[in-house]
Amino acid sequence: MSSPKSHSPALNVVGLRKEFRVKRGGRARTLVAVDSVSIDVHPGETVALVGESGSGKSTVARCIVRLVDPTAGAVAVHGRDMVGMTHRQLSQAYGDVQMVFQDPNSSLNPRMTARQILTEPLRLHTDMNKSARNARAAELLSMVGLGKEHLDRYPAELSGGQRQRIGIARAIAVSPKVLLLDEPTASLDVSVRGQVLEILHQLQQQQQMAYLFISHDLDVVRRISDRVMVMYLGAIVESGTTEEIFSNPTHPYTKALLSAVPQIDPEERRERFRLEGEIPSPFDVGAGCRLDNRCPLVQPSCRAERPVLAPVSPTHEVACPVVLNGERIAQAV
Amino acid sequence: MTTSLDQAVETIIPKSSRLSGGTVSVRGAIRSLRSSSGTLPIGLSLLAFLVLMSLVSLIWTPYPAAATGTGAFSSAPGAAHWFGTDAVGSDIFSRTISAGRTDVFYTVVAVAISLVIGSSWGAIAGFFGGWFEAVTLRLLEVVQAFPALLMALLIISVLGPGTLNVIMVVAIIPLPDFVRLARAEVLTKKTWQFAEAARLVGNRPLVVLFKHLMPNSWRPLLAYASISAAWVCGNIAALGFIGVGIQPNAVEWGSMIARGESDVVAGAWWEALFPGLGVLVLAIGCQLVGDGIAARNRGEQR
Amino acid sequence: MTATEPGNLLSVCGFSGGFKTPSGFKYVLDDVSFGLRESAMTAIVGETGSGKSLLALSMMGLAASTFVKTGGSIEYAGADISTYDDRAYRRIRGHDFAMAFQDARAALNPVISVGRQLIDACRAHRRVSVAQAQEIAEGMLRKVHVPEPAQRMRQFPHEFSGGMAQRVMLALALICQPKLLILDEPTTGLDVTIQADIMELIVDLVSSNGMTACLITHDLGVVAETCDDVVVMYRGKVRETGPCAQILQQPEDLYTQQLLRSSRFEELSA
Repeated sequence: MSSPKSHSPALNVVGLRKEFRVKRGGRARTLVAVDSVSIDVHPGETVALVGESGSGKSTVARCIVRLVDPTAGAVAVHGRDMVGMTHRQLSQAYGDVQMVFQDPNSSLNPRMTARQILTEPLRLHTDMNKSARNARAAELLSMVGLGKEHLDRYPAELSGGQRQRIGIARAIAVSPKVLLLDEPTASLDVSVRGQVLEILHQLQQQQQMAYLFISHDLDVVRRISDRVMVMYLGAIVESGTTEEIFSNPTHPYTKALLSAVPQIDPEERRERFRLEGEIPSPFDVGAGCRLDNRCPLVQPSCRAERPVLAPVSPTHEVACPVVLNGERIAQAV
Repeated sequence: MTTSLDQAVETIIPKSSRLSGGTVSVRGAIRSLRSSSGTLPIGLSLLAFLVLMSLVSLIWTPYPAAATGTGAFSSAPGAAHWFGTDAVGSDIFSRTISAGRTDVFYTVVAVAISLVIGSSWGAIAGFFGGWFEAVTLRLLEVVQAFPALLMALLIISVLGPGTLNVIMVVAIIPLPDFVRLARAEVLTKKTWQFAEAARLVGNRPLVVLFKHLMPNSWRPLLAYASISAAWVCGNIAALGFIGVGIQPNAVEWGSMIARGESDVVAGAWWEALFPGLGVLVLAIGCQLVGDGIAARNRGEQR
Repeated sequence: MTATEPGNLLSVCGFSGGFKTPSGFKYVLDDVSFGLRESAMTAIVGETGSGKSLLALSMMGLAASTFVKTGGSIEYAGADISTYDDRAYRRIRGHDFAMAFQDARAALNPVISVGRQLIDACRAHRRVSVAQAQEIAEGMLRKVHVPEPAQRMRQFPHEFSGGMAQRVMLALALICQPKLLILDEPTTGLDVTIQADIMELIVDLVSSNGMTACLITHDLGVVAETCDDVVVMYRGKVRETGPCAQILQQPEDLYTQQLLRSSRFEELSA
């Protein structure tokens, strides 16, 4: 899919699929939350996974770290397969892949001080002694812009931005190769957001971590990611470099999404590309394109066959035959 | 410049929100305890009084508690015998305060057993789910279908009276409630992100459950433990009263009430009253403490 | 921007207040002054702790009973409504003022059908029969683009998606044709595409009815695209007010400048 890089990917996901069995109206039905998702993230690279509710992006993250077990597919972190691991092997593997959670209010144990939160992963993954762990905890705090005085504070005594920074410090404590970030700035005020993003950027530069950045906030995504993958109802509908996605959104859903983002500056605004109705229930996904009941460009062929990702350029893929045919016609002319 | 802006957007809503830091540490808990008003201090005072009374009885009683014929039979309260004597001449005051040791201690032990076993069981059922949880729920339904005291009597009649049996039986009665409560707590908190984070840090699932999740649920469990203690002490006394308690004629409030029961008709009201008051004070004390804790939980968990 | 200018439907003048806490009195609003221009949409912008939500609730007379006003006034129709008791406020609420809240599904009564809530609201302020109220309610649902209104009337709030519930909330607010509509973060928590639809709807409804609107939000993009005036708040104080276009492109206040810089990601190095 993407052009071959000199290093192999730090995170390699192939054909990830997650089904949930749910009782709906008395019958057991299958909900496909994630359908055949493949992602590669290289060291030092940030790939953004973008989508609205029901897109499955958070489920993808949880499947990668096996907080939720995938139904099918392969996940490899730093070359090691994650799907087949036992619980004990997983506990060890968590030294290579970590996650920063969305809600700073509920992702820290309210009964643990910052020191305890930060030394716990060190205790479990390294053989540092107590003083070494404490020193490292202080070091981690300074890396996220907090001071030694915060070491013995409880989460309730810290602001939202500070809590989120502790969450980041905890995640990088054992220098993971891959960091999943699940909406890390969604609960933060705008003025704090910039600081947190800056910290994440610097850490990535220093340690060449691979970031999978999950977000619905397109402004943030545009500023910090190298590549973007757009998800809708469990599948990737478009993927490409940030530049390509934002300057040439091709899939109807991507167009609708980008045009809906409110912009402060008039020159950034796009003309509204409208989809009809709202996101349907994931149970009602038919055999054809997931967007078929909302897309203004819908053709009879769209309902018959599910579209697959096909290239617009060597780095840009779209799952929409209608648009692709249009592009080819435009290019041929 | 940037750090001041960060501090600047700190919320200024008073810190009575869920993750209140004030009561996280033990020191903080004691501090907030002293400043609170309402049922909690009253309950604690009652319990403290009983404990003190029991401790005093260890070193001094006016008369030996088990001795008979210390005075006239069934004599009314007076200077020599503050609570009077019973049908075999034992001093009721001495027996009452000594019985406090038995009742209070066994109540605590029974509640502790119930709490620990019940909560662990419920926590594991809630956390891991699957067949274990399903079996647990069915078992709970069966056990809780029986009236509590009746079930206790049935078991005791099979096992026979005795200290160990009484404690065990009395601990079984509130056990299902602890299981349910712990399971509910775990089910709620399982989805909080700090539980996911605890797993992701590298802890094994059982460690996540008992080291991270359960300690955050101590308040509702403690509240319930206090309230169930009121029932437990009532049940111990009830079993003693019926005669299948610790031993017949034990220095225990229930047995004392049984002994004095028949004499009430003859007008000897003091024989059953004072041990009865003992049970009452213990039950009320536990109930108030439990209510107080529950009320503060409600205030905190807004 | 003085508050008692003509052309303002409602003016807040030097309004201050706070809460009693164990460690003393905490001011949440400090000398807040601004005006809501008639038939215009004014945004109140601020981050956590700015006091914007409390301000909106105070305007509606819905502030918590523990909130203590320490000074200032809220002028409407020649009277200071901040001194009104609940009974007096009930005459204005619904009829003159209406409010739409953030989480629509939580703000609607979960055990009463949507249609019933609309009918009740309608009949509380207008002399109409049940049948007439039902028609009006259906008409409102159609106006806020809820498909199949007759069927939806019989449903309960939890059967609506987030976006649909917000439309119902707007219908409920507008059913009595208020003069002032206050919206407290109406689109926070909704998907991006739904947010855009709802904001378009709000702008459309407000302008077609000549209503005055007050939008409480933290999203400057929404403010830029939909509002006429803006009031920037920080920690209970008003930092700057004025027309949107001016404030957002040429802010004078330091905090406003910092806020815009953060919103535009200008502080990021890469």
